[in-house]
Amino acid sequence: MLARGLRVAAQITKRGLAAAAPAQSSTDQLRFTFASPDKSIFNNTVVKQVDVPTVAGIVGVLASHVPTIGVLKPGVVQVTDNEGQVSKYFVSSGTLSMNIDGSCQVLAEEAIKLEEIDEAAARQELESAQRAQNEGSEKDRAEAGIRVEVADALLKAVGGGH
Amino acid sequence: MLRAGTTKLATAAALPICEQQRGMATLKDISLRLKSVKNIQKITKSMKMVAAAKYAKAERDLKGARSYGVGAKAFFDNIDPKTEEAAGETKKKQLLVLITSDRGLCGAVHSSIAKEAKNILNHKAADVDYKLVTIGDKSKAALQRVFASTIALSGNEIGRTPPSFEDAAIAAQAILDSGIEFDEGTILFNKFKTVVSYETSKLPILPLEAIKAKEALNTYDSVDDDVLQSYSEYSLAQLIYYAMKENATSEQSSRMTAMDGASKNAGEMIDKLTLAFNRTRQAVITRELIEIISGAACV
Repeated sequence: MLARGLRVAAQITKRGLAAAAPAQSSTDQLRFTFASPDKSIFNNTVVKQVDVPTVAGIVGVLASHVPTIGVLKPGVVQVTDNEGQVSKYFVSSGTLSMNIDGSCQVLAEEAIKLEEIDEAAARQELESAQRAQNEGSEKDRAEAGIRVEVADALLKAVGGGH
Repeated sequence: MLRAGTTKLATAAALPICEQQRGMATLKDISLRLKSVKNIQKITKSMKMVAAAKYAKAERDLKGARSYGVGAKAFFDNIDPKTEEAAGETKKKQLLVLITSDRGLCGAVHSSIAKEAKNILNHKAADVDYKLVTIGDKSKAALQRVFASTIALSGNEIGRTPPSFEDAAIAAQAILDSGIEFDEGTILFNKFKTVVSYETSKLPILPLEAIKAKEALNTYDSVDDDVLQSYSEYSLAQLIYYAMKENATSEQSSRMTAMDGASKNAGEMIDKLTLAFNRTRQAVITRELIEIISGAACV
């Protein structure tokens, strides 16, 4: 409670100073942008925490996280906003960047809410991708391998795990 | 006779494009012109409506694409803050990516990109080497004559369907595969502002080595080469996608206004021609009457 009160006070003073110091990095807020090519899910919204599945593992990003960049793996992005509401989205691939000025961008190639995943279709995709993995040129096999990974992660996400 | 003379003068004044001052434009000539201008007006009206529908869709798509594109830019803004030194030394090898499309009749959208590119190429320092990637036939055609040697890659089949991330990925892949070496790159596109205005803008691109050379990169934690390479390649596709989306929206809105103007102009021409037609028709009737009357008077 006290911490939140302090944080609110800090926000107010910062706003007053905003005109004087434009490029100030607001390090106690996480400004989050989560978008895919055709839609924007969060656009510079202040949130509390974001868990992002990257090739290096699941990265939990809070405000003032050290700047970093990463490549997304198929998996679930979990966003906790300031009220404690958690929303989960499945992402297929993309990039993560946490910048020096305190803004975080997760740019996914495809992102959908977990509730909208069609489990039967995902299962079918997994099966056909596994079949495709055994035939074709190297490039085709690699592409089929990616499909298997995504379909697998989709099913895991629907199943409730990460 | 005198009356026929004055009508002849009036017709000649109403049709300033009528080159032959001796013969009055016959009824048939005027009606031919009238028919063709009416057809053209129908075409431009329907083109305007098609462009309006495409523009509505493109603007909706742009909302999502904008936050995507601005997000993609954020990393580069942070790592390469535009200070005064940016105006100073231009790197030796530069890449210009021009985003246009294949289709014309859209106002000044393509010509503004070509103009900006020509401007850059004409005012460059002697030791700076520019390579061009033209996306869309219009920019290629505009720069073909004078700067054909600088065009490294060109893409077409753009403009028929709204741009997708796949198109941008294909373009980015082609640029990376072609092995063009560049120290710095710029994407030239038209940023959409409102229905009636757009602005020719630039997006900076940094290749992998240039990103590694930036000191700001050191503040970024746990960045290994693999991740950085994937990130920079993916970002190229993201930035190209954003530029394509903005350009498509600007193009459709510009086409809408251009076709609207064309329909209005055609409407004005039709009005003028209709007046001329009626005047000529009345003159012809008057002449016939006079001939009949004077003929009868002789008898």
